[in-house]
Amino acid sequence: MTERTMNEPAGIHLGSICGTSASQINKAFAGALLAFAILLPMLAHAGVVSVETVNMAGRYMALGIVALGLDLIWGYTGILSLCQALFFALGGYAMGIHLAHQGTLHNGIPESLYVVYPYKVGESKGMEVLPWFWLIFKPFNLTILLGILIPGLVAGLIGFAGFISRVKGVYFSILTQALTVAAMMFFSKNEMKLCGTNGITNFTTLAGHELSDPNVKIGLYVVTLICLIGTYLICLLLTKSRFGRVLLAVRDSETALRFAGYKPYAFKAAIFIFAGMLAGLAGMLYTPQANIITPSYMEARWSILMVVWVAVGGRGTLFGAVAGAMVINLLYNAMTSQWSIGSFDWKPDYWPLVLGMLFILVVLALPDGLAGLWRKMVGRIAEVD
Amino acid sequence: MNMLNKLLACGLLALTTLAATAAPTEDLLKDLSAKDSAKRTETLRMLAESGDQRVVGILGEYRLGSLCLWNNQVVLALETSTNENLDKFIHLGDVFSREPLLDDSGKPLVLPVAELTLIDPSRKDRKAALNAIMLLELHAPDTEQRLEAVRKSGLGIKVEGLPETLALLEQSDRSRAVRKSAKESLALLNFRFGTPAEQLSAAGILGDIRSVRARSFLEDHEDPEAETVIKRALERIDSRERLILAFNIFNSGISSGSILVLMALGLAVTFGMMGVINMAHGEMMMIGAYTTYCMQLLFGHTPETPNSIYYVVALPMSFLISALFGGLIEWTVVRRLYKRPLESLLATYGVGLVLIQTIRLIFGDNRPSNSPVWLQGGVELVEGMGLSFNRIFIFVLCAACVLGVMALMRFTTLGLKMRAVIQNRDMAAAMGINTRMTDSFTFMLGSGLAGVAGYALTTIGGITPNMGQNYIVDSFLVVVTGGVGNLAGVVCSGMGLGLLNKILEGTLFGAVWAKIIVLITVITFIQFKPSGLFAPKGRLADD
Repeated sequence: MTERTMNEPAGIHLGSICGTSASQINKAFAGALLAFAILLPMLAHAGVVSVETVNMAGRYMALGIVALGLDLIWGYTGILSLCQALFFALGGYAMGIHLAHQGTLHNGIPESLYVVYPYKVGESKGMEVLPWFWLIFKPFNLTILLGILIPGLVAGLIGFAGFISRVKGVYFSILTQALTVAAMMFFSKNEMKLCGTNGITNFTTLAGHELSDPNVKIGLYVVTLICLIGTYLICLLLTKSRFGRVLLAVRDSETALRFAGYKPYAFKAAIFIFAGMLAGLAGMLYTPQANIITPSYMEARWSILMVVWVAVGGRGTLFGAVAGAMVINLLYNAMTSQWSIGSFDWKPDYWPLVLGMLFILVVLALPDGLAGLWRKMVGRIAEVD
Repeated sequence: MNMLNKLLACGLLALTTLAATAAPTEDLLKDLSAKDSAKRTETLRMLAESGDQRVVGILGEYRLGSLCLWNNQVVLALETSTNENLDKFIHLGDVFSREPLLDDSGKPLVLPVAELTLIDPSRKDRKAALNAIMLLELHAPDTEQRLEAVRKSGLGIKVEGLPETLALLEQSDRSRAVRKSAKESLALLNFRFGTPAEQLSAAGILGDIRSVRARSFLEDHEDPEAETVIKRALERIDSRERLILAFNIFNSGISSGSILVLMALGLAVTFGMMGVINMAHGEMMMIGAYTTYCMQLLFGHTPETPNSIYYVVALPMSFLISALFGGLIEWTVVRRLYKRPLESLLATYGVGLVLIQTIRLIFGDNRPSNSPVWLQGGVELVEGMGLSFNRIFIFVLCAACVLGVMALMRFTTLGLKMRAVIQNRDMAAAMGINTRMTDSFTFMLGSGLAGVAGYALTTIGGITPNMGQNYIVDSFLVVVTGGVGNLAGVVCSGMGLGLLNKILEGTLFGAVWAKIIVLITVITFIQFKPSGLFAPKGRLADD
């Protein structure tokens, strides 16, 4: 019993804790944020904020989509997956290959590939042929489809294999972590024709639009924002549905659920696949805005960092997950630049220290994350009213 | 006169060092300027037989024509210079020491060419000198040098006197390795330059001793009569090569397996027994390595001034310091998360980040590690099959740690308490065991073991702040594969994974592919045996 209350998520009690005025505050806050997010491109267009800021916000929103998926599987279903970074990178590579097709070519071979693997790309020199897994990403629509389906397919394989044989808890985390490491090595090898450790970069156009054009950057931001809102709403519907309640049951007592006649593995696999697809979508949105995709996105620290976004934001609340991703990345942005207050010089070297302390602090002192903190604050204000 | 005294002193010095041979060497050198060609050849032969290693360098100078005769002494022409009248001058040096000779006033001795007799070897002399050098090296007093020369001689040209010398060495050398090498080199020479009959017998010998170096010569040889003998010899060489390959794969597999076991042992204690995911385990290892590095600094051990005692002190120190850090982590972080293993993963990863960055800010990125003198080098069992001392040491250390932990668990009160707490925490508490203290000690033990792993790793790689990150995933896999909470399982899976990795790497695939395949194998394995090799049964099996 004690264990259950410790793992109790915050989100589902929202209605009971907060009165009407609390939910009004929440709505007002969400509305303000949304208005700001919509206004941001207009401000950039007017020259108030730089296009780089909008680009940065777009990238971080893409990461927010990963956090949404991770929150569904970790916060709601209780599965700690450390391979979201792999799905993210799969989507990123799909888009990266597509973009490389439209970039600079050498003998018909995209530059990033040509640099790493100049000769044996085709059968022989002079008749270079792109491998099939480059060709399928040439049409734009197919790329979008595959960029979501491939991560979903991989997630399905991992999910069904793992959940049917009841690999759970920490074991699942370690396994997915190992898998991501294996994938990173796979992508880093030059002869895999995936551009090795350099990754794919130097993109020029996306669907005929110049990527360096500020308007295209703002456009990408808008697309990302729409995707974020869309996926957020889908996730919201999902968690409010019967399906979402089964997920909570999986987290709280899988054995009881099984005895009640459900097949937990099917639900776990389904939500795992969905989260994988979200990560793939995020990767596709992130790559053109970051202008690079490399195997280093599959490093262990990325997977764990993604989990920390959710933990900081507050697991079990969708809004918290997105907020966590945004806040940590903004913090990262601020703390990896050099600045000084008085005689104190801040160095980018200190960032890992802050991040590490944040990991510890969130787990020990803020188990419900920022969302929990916010709820307490709002609850207080509502009481006063 | 002063000059002569100096030369005399030099000669005396040489006399004292090489009592019997020194004086004749001096005299023999003078004969190199003899007019008579036969006398010069004879002189070179005698020099070759003298075994005086100093002559190797002198004969090299002789071949270049840098020796000259002055005052009835052989001296070395260090360099030539010309004055404004285009007269040539030669800067003289001592043949043995290569130091410039000084005149009465202490200045370097520079003489016009006319006052010297240049010793100019003929083509034949040069060749003879080369032979002499080769033969001299075969007589080097140092066994290592002699072995090297003997090995080299089989692949070089067949110079006059070489087969005889090799035959002599094969019969009567002190060192067994030299005798074997001499036999091989002699057979090689005979096979390469001999008559068909000699070649036939040499091929047989090369097959008998399974000479790997002879492979290419045997393969290139086209002689229908010797075909069967050569084929047989090649088969035997093949089998030897396979043996060497297997040995080397086994050797490196065992060695990387021992490192894995050493790393996973601490994790088997913290993760396997306590159920805590300590992502900072790799950093405990890193702290052990840095403790060793600090000991190295403290004892002033450098390659120039070795002070290997530091390594003895560093063993308990690395264990203690890592255990202290582990205790600190347990006390501040892990203790609060015993019921939330997934969150302990995050928190300890944060601890790891802080530790890595702190160490990086203190020590910088890469620190050199110098092994103690007695762990450098190794033994060569057969040519191509070597065991290095540091790998042997890691294996022994690993075995000692495994036995030590097993003994601790089985025979001490602390071990009894640990097992009790692991099996049934509430019941153990009811029996009056202080479970908190026991948890602390168990965690400290695990962290200390990681420190020992870091200590061992300093002998084979550099010390970097993020060295632990390379091992953490692997060690978790070892523990999971071995079966949680099972030391024997950890040993089996660690050694097994190490061997599997090296076998794949050494035979069919490259390093990266081998690693990927091992990872996939483990993942698949866990699909079918989710509780590992040695699954707990009965009440210990989880819900």
